[in-house]
Amino acid sequence: MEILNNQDSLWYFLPESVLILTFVVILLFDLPENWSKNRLLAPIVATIGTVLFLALSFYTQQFPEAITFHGMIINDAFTDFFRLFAGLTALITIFLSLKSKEVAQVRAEYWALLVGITLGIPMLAASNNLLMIYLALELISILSYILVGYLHNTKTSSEAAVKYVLYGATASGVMIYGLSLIFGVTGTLNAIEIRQFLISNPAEQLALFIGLLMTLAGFGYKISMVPFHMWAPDVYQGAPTPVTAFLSVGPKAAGFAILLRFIYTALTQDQGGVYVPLKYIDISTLMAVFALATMTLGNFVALQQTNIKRFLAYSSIAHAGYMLMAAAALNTEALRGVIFYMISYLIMNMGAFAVAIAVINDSGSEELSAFKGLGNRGRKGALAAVAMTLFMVSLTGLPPTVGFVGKFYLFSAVIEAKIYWLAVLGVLNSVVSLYYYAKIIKYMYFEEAKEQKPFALTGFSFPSLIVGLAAATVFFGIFWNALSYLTEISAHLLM
Amino acid sequence: MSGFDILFFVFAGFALVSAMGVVVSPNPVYSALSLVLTLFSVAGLFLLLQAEFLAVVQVLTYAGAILVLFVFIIMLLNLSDFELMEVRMGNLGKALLTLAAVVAFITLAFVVHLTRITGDPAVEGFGDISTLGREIFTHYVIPFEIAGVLLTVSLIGAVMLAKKNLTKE
Repeated sequence: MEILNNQDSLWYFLPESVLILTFVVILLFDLPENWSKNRLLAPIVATIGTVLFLALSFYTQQFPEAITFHGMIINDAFTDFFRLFAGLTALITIFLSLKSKEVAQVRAEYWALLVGITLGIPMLAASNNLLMIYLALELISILSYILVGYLHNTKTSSEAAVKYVLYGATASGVMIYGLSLIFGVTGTLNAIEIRQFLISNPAEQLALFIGLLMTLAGFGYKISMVPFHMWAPDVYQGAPTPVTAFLSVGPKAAGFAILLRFIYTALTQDQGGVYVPLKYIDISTLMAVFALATMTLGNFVALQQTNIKRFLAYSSIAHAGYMLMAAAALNTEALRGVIFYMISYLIMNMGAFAVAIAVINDSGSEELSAFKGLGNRGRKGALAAVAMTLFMVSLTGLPPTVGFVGKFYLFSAVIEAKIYWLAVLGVLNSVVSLYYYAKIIKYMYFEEAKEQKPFALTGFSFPSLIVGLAAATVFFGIFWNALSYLTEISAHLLM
Repeated sequence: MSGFDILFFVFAGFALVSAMGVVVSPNPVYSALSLVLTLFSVAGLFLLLQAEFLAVVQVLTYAGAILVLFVFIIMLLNLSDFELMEVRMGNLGKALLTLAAVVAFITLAFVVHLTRITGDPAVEGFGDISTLGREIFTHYVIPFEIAGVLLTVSLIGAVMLAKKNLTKE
């Protein structure tokens, strides 16, 4: 294990530096009067910056794994994966934002802020220090508040932003108190040193447990874990749809990354692929209970939703529950499973949001009833309906889609960890989710549309994105070897 | 009881009472002023711990700049008494929430009281500016820079949200 000093660490920080630079450049480009008139300039710069970020993260990925900046940040395969993930999510979001009518007239700051959140995701996933965790989490949170309230002439957007800020501020307050308790008990901010301290010293069990619970409030809020999920439906509904799509994938994955890194690094001991919880805290059972509560609540409340964004919000809470099983299973298979699941979730959820944006563009309505009869509304309608069907099947977790493979990996990790009750209840939960995902399919094919005019999905690029995501859903559902290889090399934590 | 102890209890007592004042006071101006007092008392605690720089910064930025801004905003919004009184919650709800807060407080106080705080003794020259500066620009340089990014984006965001017309003509 090598801890690098600041100078040597700079090379590892190259991809993130590019994002910071892009952020500044976008803001500067907006200053000259005749430049700011060009609507495409800022998104193009943002895209170039993100692509450069991806390219550089492939470059830094070849460096030996190291702990950089005096133990603040860890550069391992896990971090590399989240750089890739953040870059891809950002690119799709930039594209969706260009296509959505809701944010058609945004100014350059919107793109700058998107780049800012993209910076926060790998920073959070790589944090090894409680201070760094807090700062990266706040970076993501504050930018999310602003983007959610971006359409501040609409009432729902402002309301969502205010709710998000209030919940978020409370959650960070609770979390930072919890972090201070952990610091008080262990005397260090460094996650690796926390583990070393806990192994060799009798820690104050009660204070540690309460500190941990309070810290989980902060992480749990980011990933919408029950009981810290209350903000999600309102925020997802009120935010501009592309922002909702981004929030449900990018920041959520970052929250999972740090939750898993913190639990695996600070609270367990690696014994050949099985991470044994340290003697004081049964983190496994605790997270299993949270996982079950999260997926059950998400699935059952999703049954009654009539708004597509609220519907996808509860669906994303349910998926957070499935991914939380990885924090309960505590083995390498679980890490691999959750990484696979995140990729599949990126594909299918972004796909579902892309179709939702197309439907909202077409009908101006966010109600589920806008999907009625979509399959019979011309060629474009049929295309969107087929794609949506695939995304829904994948979100349910049925073969031959990528969602099935993701669930398969996760559940097998849980069985490997011998938490059978969680696996059984998780599968039952998937059955419940079939009902509401199938409802959309039924709306699209077996119900009459209000207006029979052909579905408006113009241009070439937007339909291609939807088709591409749908194709990826099926392709990786059948040939998952490539993804499986990626997860295998990524599921490595330097600790 | 030494002078240190007496000062500690004075500052801690003031901090607790004024923090209660922030929560209990129905008038937001009084709340903000209580918060000033809380921050001053905490600054006093920092002084007792020989963190002079932290104490001064606390008074200058928090008690000075930020709280003045709070009071300005509260005054500018000019909330009428009626709006201030309106809390949409029954007495039972209030009672339960108060009970929950009290239980949480007692639990935390109990936990903190029982906990043996560990950690290394403070570094040589703790609390003076040169040590702080050296630490910030060596061990903590990356959090420092990220905090800079964080403040920049917050500033831009605040301006953005305050602007009336965000869309281009």
